[in-house]
Order: sequence, then structure tokens, then C-alpha cells
Amino acid sequence: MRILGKTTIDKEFEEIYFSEFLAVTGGIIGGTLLLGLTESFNLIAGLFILFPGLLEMHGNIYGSLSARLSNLLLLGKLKKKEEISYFIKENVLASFFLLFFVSFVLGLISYLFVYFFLGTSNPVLILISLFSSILSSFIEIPMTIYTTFWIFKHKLDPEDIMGPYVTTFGDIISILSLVIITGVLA
Amino acid sequence: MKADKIIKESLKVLIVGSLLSSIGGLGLESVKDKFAMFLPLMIILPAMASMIGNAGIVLVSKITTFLALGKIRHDNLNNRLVRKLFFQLTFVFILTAIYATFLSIFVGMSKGFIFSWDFTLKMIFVVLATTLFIVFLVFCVALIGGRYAYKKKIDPDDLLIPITTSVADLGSFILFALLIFLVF
Repeated sequence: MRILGKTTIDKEFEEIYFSEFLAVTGGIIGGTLLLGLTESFNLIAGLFILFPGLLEMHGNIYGSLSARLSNLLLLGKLKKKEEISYFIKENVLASFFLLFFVSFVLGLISYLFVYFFLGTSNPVLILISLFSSILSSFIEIPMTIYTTFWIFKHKLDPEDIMGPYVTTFGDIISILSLVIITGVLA
Repeated sequence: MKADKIIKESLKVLIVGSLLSSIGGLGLESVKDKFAMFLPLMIILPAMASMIGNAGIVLVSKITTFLALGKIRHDNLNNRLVRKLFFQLTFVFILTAIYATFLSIFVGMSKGFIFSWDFTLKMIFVVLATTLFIVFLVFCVALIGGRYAYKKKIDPDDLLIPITTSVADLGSFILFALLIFLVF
């Protein structure tokens, strides 16, 4: 198929399109889960402020993790067992610290926005941000690392697939964690 | 790469990213009544966030690898490979935006939302406009940031993905909220 005079349908296009298609489907599943929070969105002022940042932060941390791993795999710099276990140890440590710290900051920012712009004090936002991130990380960190290796072993390009995978899978797990933690704390 | 180096490179940019995304979220908070009224708009929200993240991650990963393999030069990013990537992403995102709109309306109907062509056409317009804006914004930020990261010898995966997606989040959610406010 030619678009604007360029041949665009190739393996790369197929990989991006297929993973994007799955990502959006996953996003809609996440959106359906999000309907479970409709009442909480009205009850807890500021959940909409927290929500994009929370999804964004997960996507960024796990996206960077899989991108680092993909780069090293594609450049052939991760072959020995010691290299792999060193990579995993350092990256899991970094990802968990970043997640913990940034989710606290994100909760604090949301709290301050609600306080100054909506005139409501809602400290539960900080707890929701923190605990939902910790809950989801127990699934998301191992799955991100395992899936990147699996995709590379099956001769697919993790750079085309992992981005959408991380954001989709991450979104579903994050929203589910958000629904659970909001249900517990609200 | 050691954990402390990853943290050092990522922390500031993630905090700035959280701040920018929260400003985008402030836009969504201001139209939250519309989300409760029109369920498909709420259902499509994570898919929109996902598209923003995907565009950033795919693009930054690709540009990083192209730079590392010497397929593109940091002082000349306007080449065939980059242009091809732009057209591919635009085409993919237009198709997925239309698909996401219909799917979210369908799911919304199963949850009690009443279908109308008027709403469908308005939603397609809002989602497509936001999607095209996402692709354009992500490309600009990724290319400018890619060159900066390469010159400063910073790992673009740690710097660029959060920056790209955060700026796109901010711009896209504000535009999305604004269009919802104006159209519905």
C-alpha cells in the first residue's frame, strides 16, 4: 500500500499497527474498569487530576525500563548471565525507588492543586497515589522485564511492541489498583 | 547502568512530568460532569492516555536506536527514515482513533448509553483532532529532545520518554478537555 507516494506497509508498520490496536483495546478495557470509579470521581475531588499523571508515570518508568533493555538486547550488549542479572538487579531497584518517590510527589501535587484551585483539603489523594502504585508494581515490574526478553527471543522487535504493551498492560493494572485502593480508602 | 545513575537521570524529569500531567488532569477535572453524562468519553480516556504514551515510547526508542546505529545523524534529523516514521505513526493513529471511538461507544451502549449519530460524529472529531495533535507534538518534542540528549550524552530513554509523554499529556488532555467543553 502506498501513502503520499511512499510504500508504508512493511513489517515495522504491521508490528506498530498490531501492537497499537491491542493497546487501544486494552485502553478501552481499562476505561470500562474506570466506570467503576464514576461515583468516586464525584466524591473525591481531584481524582481526575491524579489520574493522567498516575498512568503517565507508570508508562514512563516501565517504558524507560523496557527501552533500556531493548536497546541493550538489540545492540548485543546483554548476552552473559551475569550481565543480565546485574541489569535486572539495578533496574528493579531504580524502578521501585522512582515509583515510590514520584507517586508520593504526584499525590502531593494533586493534593495542592485541589487545595488551591478547588478549595478542598483531600489528603487521601496522596495515599491513593502511593498505595495504588506500590500494589501495581508487584505485577508490572516483573512482567515488563519478562515480556521484553520473551519478545526478543521470538525474533520480534521489542521497540515496536513493548511501548504499547507497557502502556496497555500498565494502564489496566494501574486502573485496577486505583479502583481497589480507592474502594478501600474512600 | 547503575541504579543511582538511572535514578539521577530520571527523577527530575519524572517529577516535572507529573506536574505537567497534573495540569492536564486539571483540564479533565473541569469537565468531569461531561464524562459522567457521556460514558464513552470516560471509557476512551485510558486509550487516549495509552496512545500518547505509545507514540512517545515507540518514537523515542526508534530515534535512539537510529542515532546509536548511525542510521541518522544528530545534526540532520530530517531524513527519509524519520519522515517514513512520521507517516507511519500518523496513519496508524488515525485508524486506531476511529477504532477506539466506535469501541468505546459500543461498550458505553452496553452500560446504558444511548447511541446517536450526532454524538458519534462529534466524538470522532474530538478524538481525531486530539490524536493528530498528539502525533505532531510528540514528533516535535522527540526530535528536538533527541538532538539535545545526544549532544549532552544523556541516555535519551531516561530523559526523552518522560518529557515527550508529559508534554504530550499536558497538551492533549487540555485540548481534549477544551474540545469536550466546546463541542458537547
